[in-house]
Amino acid sequence: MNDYTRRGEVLPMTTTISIAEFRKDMRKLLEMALSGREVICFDAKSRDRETCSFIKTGLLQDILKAYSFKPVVFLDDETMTHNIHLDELKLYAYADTVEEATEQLIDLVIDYISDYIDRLGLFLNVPDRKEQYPYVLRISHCQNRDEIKRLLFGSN
Amino acid sequence: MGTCSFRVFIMVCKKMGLVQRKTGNSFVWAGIDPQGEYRQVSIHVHVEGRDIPSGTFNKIVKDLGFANEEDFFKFLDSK
Repeated sequence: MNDYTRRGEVLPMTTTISIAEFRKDMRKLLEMALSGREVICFDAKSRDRETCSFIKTGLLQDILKAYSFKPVVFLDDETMTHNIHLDELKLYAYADTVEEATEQLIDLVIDYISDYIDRLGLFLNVPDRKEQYPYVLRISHCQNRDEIKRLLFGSN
Repeated sequence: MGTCSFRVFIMVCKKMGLVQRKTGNSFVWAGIDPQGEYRQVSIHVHVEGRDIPSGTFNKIVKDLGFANEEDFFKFLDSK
């Protein structure tokens, strides 16, 4: 039993600091975050008291692996087109071949992610678009088309 | 459930008050619908003018806020 539990208080699980403290020792806080600790920063002068988390990118990417993509690929008998539905982002492609539909879907994904990030203020205020945020974040870490393709259709 | 012509899809989007813009290789129809909800549908530029296959049309109908295909066409025919 330590001092906190003896006093009936909640253990401090995170490191919470003000902007002023953050500015004073950014290097130390960066090292803390790189060691795996979440550093939460707040603006003491701000009315809404919103906070921001500083977290190691590799750990964030590990967390985001829980948000996997499951594209549905099928042939439409009437139009004889190959369709691919990516329900996670509400994006749909259809073309004469699977290869064309795949490339179309990747184009749609790239355009959508770019639009989403440019207009975060809008999308984070629309409930069914806000829930796409982890998927958007995951794709935004991809460096190129091939990586996006592996993420959507591979085993990532 | 069946296919939907591209022209009809555009007519419904316009009637809903959605506006088209081009971003990269996508045509994006987006805006606030008559019920005040934000709606957005992305279509690849290479399928412009092509009939929308039934399964994909069904998804788009739901994303536009309609309960089903019947509601979609009812809205199209309404004044």
